[in-house]
Amino acid sequence: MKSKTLLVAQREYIETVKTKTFLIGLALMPVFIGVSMFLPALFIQRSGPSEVRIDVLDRSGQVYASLEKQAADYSARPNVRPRIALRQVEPGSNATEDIQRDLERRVRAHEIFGCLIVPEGVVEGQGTTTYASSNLALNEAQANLERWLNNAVADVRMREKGLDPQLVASVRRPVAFETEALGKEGQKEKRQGEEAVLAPMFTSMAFVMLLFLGIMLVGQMCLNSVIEEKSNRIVEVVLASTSPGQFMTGKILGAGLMGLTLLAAWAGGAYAVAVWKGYARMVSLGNLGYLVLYFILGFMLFSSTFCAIGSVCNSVKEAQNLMGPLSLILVVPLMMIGPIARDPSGTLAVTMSYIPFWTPFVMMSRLAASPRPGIPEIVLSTAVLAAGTAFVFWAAGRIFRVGVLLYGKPPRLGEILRWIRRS
Amino acid sequence: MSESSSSRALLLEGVTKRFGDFTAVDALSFHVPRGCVFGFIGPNGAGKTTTIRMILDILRPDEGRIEALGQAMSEELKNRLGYLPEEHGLYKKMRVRDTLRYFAGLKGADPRAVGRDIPTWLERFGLAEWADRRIEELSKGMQQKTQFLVSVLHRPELLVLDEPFAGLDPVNLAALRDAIVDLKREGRTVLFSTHVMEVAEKICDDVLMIHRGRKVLDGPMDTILGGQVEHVAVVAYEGDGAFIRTLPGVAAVNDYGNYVEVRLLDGADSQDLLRALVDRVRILRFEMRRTTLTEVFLRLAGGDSQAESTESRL
Repeated sequence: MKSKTLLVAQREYIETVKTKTFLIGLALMPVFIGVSMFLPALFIQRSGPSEVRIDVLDRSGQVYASLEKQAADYSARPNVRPRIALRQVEPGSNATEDIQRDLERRVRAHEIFGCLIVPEGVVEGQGTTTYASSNLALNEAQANLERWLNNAVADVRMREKGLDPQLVASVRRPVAFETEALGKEGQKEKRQGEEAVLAPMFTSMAFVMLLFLGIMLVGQMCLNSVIEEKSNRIVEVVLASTSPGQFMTGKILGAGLMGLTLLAAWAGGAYAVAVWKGYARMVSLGNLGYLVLYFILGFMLFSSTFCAIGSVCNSVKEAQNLMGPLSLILVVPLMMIGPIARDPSGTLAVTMSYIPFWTPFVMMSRLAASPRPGIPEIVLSTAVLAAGTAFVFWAAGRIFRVGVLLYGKPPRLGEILRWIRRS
Repeated sequence: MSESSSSRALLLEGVTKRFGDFTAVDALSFHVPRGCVFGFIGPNGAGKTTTIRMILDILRPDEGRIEALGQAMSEELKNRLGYLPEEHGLYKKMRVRDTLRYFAGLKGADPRAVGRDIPTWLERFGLAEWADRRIEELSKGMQQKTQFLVSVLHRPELLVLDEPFAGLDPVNLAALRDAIVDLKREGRTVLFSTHVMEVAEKICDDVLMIHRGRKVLDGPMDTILGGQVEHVAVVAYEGDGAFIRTLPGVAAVNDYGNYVEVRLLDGADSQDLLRALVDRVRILRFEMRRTTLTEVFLRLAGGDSQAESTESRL
């Protein structure tokens, strides 16, 4: 014969998995994560015009050819956005001011993206070069133009000093440059450019978000189901058959299994999208075991708390008032992801690792960053979390036993504390 | 029955339950013999539901002792009790068949036996077509019947029903009444609280009444209703009957508009009443009957329970 705890867990799992809320959560959350994680990156890369046109007035007559060549080389590289197309303005006999006024008018009319006016004495270091555009936020254009112009002027100056152009080219040859993220001895990941900074951040963000959403969603379901059982007087029928301890344990067990199902689906979905979109190298799966461990402990901790809250409330609305402070506690580690990732072994990160309600999130962030916390620290903080979870589970059980049969006004905090000490 | 050592299905001794300063149940003692149908009555707020919850170990008494089927409460004992709460306690989204299976499982019942019994019970209560519907699709009466099935499917030896007849139409009320009588024939014990005095009067062997947490009446139904002595005259008449109240030998008069019920004092002669009436009004009907449970209830619950009297006459 099946134990009553398992029966409760089984019902909780099966009946919740069948609900629309669960299915929607299952399907929509990866989409939500995908949108919030990938879209900004894609957006920055893919947005804006694919090509911008910039008119150049070269009063010196010495730099345009070089500028045009550098712009063409740049624009010919793959995945460059926006490409930069230069066009020379023939000065004719017009005054610089008139040409400038005309170019600015065309920029304002969005006929061209921007204009560059190079003064006559640019090589000699006289006069100021001006770049004008209606959109300075798209800063690839101005940054590149400044660099290209400096290159062009330097080339002219070197040639004037009698240096061989080939010698100049060989002097200007770029060095090979690579970035490495150092972890434990023997672990060295070669990443290029921004990936070196982004990959650990990205993975830890994703894991912490998964943990947070999983715990919140399933905890909320726990809360709602307790309130439903209480307001529909189902608890009476159940408690006439089982003890409150069996009942609460069964509920948490069932909800926890449901949470693991969600987490598996989301993580799988997110990884599939990452592979499909070519971001797979940004994900390191080494911390998956920890994700499961911290989910189980963190989930037990929060769902016990949610069950206790649900048991003293008569409606979801009442529960929301009590949920406020708890949500605040939950949000703190999320806001701290950035600082923790930048200094994962700093005082802030280490201190936060030993506060049970934060341990899962903080440790998950730290494990994904480098330097990783050492084994003693992982064991100790996990032990503190486990002890905290055990205590909260025990206290929640006492609150649940009394609260779930109490109707009317929710009890005061002092009263609840008395239930924990007594009974 | 496995536990024949005790002839008592239920025993309460000095049971007290307080909620803060309020004493819901005050030193209550009674016992329920095995194999009987036991009625539990009392005005709203008298402490019936609290007592029932203590019997089922949902609440713990502050003082006193409760023994069911000859033993103190335990997990094993819970499996031998059945419970129907005052308000429906069913999962709205669950289907009827799953609900029955789940709650029977929680009572430790053998799933195969339950699977065999479900169709029979559903058929008996006209719920067969609703087996795969969700609870929320059922009418209130059908939910009440489902709740009753939840309380009996695991074949409990002691069945505790809190207001089982509430919300049932006469047909379903009769079906439930018959089911309770059948359970008694199988040797099971049924305790139920109710406001439907007519049913209690017909099927209960014993009755207990509490008022403000205290026992005010306890004993076999026949004794309580005064044996066969006829105490009440039912009179339909034409004319002004206001004087009836003042006649000698009259204890109380209930005016129902179409007729009045006249309760006589002990020892008063009904013939004297009839003679007094004939002189003053035109009699359409005059019959004697014995005291009803409703009248006993009203007398004991006193004047503070006028609302109750309406309810109990349903």
